[in-house]
Amino acid sequence: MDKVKITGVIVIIAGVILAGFILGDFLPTVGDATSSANSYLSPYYIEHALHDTEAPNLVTAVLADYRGFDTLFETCVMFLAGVTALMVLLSKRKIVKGQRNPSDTNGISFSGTVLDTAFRVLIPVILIYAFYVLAHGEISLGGGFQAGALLAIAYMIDRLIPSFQNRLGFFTEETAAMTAGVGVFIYIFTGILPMFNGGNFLEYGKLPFEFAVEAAVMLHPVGIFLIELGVTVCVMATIINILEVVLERTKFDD
Amino acid sequence: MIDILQGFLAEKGIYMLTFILMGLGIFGMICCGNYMKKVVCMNIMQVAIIFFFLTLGQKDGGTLPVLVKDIFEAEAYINPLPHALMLTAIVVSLGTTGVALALLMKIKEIYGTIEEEEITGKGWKK
Amino acid sequence: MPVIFLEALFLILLIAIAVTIIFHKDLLAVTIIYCAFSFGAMMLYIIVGAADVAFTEAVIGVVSTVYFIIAIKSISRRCK
Repeated sequence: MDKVKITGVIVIIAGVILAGFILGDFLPTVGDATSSANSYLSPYYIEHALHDTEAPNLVTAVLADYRGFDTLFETCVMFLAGVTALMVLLSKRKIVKGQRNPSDTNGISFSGTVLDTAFRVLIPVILIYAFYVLAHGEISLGGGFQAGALLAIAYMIDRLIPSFQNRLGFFTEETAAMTAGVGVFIYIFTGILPMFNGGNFLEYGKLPFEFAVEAAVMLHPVGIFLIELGVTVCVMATIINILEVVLERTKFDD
Repeated sequence: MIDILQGFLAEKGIYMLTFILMGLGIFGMICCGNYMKKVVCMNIMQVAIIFFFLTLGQKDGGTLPVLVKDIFEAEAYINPLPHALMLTAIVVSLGTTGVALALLMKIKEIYGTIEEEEITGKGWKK
Repeated sequence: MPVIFLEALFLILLIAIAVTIIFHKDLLAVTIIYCAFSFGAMMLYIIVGAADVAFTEAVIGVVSTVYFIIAIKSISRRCK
């Protein structure tokens, strides 16, 4: 065994336990309802979320309505991660652009009737569940990130099983990066639309869809849904982008 | 006996275990020679940090942060603010892992190996 | 059983998995154990009460594990 690693692990465990006994009084007790993390702003969010945003899921109300600006920049970071991965591995192309020949899709050789049948049943169920999670993000658990990742998993299953002949396969590297940009654009456009109507950036109460809803406060779920759509498209496209970039350099030869 | 153990865990025990996990993650990032293991240990460290933030939002007797019909008091629900921040953190950690793997494949192509001792020529004295 | 004991139990399990990841020498085994680590982290988030975070961690753990397995195919499986 490696002596450096063993001594390191023992030193860390002993050191943290010792430091915990000496210095551990400034952290709040776990489960305390009057600690300062639970005192100043979060009671306001819990008590006024239904009245302001018409969304019973408090986490979505905080993430997409009260703190919508942070979510915008997180979406931008995901888009930039996809573009960076594309730029790092950008060099000689061995596959002619636009041609996807399923018979030499890196030659993954595991297949069989059990896998085929199982995934024929599994992929439509995952797709339906992903759209359900996106649409119900405000009422129960869910949201944009989970839906986008589920759609990307359905694409991944179809891409990595060779005998499916890549039926969902219309994404190349550049197409996936462009789709991620479209997702960010949907988000920013939902933010700019209220400015044409006299409101601030990302103020859902002044979206110009007054003819479709019955009260001004019901515009908030419309705004939240459009934002979650943008996040879903961006996250799905970034995951597919990184997958395609990495798969192009891989040889499966077993 | 159980009360003493419960009191000790609530005051300091959970935080000590969380910081041990984070310390192990950072130690793995520094001392493992293989670059792939460094990326895995980075993800271990991120799980520890996310769990630390989530314990700050616990309340005794609170339920999930989804509104139940006609109950609006703030003591009945746990704090939703750390959950919203940590959702962003998890998704950004996925992006970081993806970029790290792209860089890893480029390093393998240029140098032919991903052991730190063979690339830089320096290592821990065994 | 109070919630705090379950939290401590899962944290000790995660620490044991982390020690195994640091010491092991086969990269494919490290990837599979990392999938178990992600699953244990998801159970921990459910116990604390964060259901949205647990859902996200479950899905993103799967995607991360698939990325690692694809990367191992073009990188040697042994580690010194």
